[in-house]
Amino acid sequence: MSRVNETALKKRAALCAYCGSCTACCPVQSVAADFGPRAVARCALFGLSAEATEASWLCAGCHKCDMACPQDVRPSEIIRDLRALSPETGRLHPVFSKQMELLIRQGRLYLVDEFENDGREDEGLPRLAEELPDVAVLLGGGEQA
Amino acid sequence: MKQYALFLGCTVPVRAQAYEKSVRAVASRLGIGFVDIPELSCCGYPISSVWEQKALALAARNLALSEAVGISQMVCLCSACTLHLKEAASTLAQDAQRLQEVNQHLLRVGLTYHGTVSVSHIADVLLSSDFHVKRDLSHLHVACHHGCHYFNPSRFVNMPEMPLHRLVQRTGAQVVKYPTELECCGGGSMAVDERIPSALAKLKLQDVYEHSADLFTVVCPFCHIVYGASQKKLGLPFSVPVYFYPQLLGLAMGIDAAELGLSPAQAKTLLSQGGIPA
Ligand code: SF4
Ligand code: SF4
Repeated sequence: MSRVNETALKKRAALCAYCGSCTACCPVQSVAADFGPRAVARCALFGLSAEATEASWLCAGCHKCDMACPQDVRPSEIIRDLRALSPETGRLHPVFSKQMELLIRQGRLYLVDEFENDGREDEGLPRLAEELPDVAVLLGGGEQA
Repeated sequence: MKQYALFLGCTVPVRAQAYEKSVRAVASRLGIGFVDIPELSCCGYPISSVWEQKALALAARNLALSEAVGISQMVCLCSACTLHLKEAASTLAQDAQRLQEVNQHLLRVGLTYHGTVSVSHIADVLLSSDFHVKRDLSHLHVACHHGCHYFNPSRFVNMPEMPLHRLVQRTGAQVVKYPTELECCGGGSMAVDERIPSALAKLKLQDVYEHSADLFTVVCPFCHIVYGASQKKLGLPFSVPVYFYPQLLGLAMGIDAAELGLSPAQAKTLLSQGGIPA
């Protein structure tokens, strides 16, 4: 269960004065015109719409918008909240389920197997654990695996 | 000798070995000791926006492994790992209830965390070390990219001003200032849409090129992927060599190129005229 709830999310979004300072400094907005933290905050005001969640995935998480906002809305946290609620609303982005799957399987996003470890050793670097079953246990996917 | 648990994360050990090599080479000469813990995993950052509690549990497991071998300082090479582990360490040191919750999860893997580990970025560790430069790099004009997760978040207000500038100056090289210096690499959006980091990288590299930098330096494997490893795909009419800061530092300290993950050609170019290696 996520710590976030929809009421708190809307309350936070309601602080937004629609000034646009956040969107003006957002690096993603500068190259993807239809994305913007102000628009996400605005959508969140009306709760967990598909549009709001959809709009949250492009954020790079740089926190520039949080620093620019005069109302302390912290748009990047609204974005995080929307993402956190997405598994419950069935709107999880496939990239994140894929990353979760990789971590459950191998403990790191990039596989470290015998081949990789041999390569590391050739470079004079220490070997790393190839299996990390603890991670699967903590992520709730691999107790029986 | 100061001892740190070396946190490599997912990307460095597989896709940024030159970074890891140069960090190890430099550290061993500066009296910075590393303890390697082979069981360290992903820090939890990649999944943290969706599964905050699970990501905290992963961070706590890594911190607990360091605590278990008696090391209370962890150093990270990746800026996103630094940010995530720093936040986790501070949450768990200050919030007894969250620590207790996390420990209930850790119990399932036979661990307990006591909240004693602190986390730093390698750049900060280097900043607080003394080093002596043996080779002259004063002919090099270096553009820096700090990276948002190392530099931006206002909650870490104690950040010294432009730490990478100071680090570069201490090698003897010259810092090139350029207008888009504090712009984000967009790496955080890469998994969802590669076009975002690509478009941002183009703008920044163009700027760096126009300001006549010989090279571009970073302190994060992700930033290196965006600007360095993916640069060819951007189709720019010029190229900007990208190095990890410890590679430059190591070169200035007189360390052999191979130990720093530099090819002989790269080292030769850097030491003679700067600019683009053959
Ligand atoms: S945190 Fe996300 S929304 Fe905010 S400025 Fe950065 S990329 Fe834009
Ligand atoms: S900066 Fe703050 S108040 Fe202004 S539009 Fe963005 S979220 Fe709303």
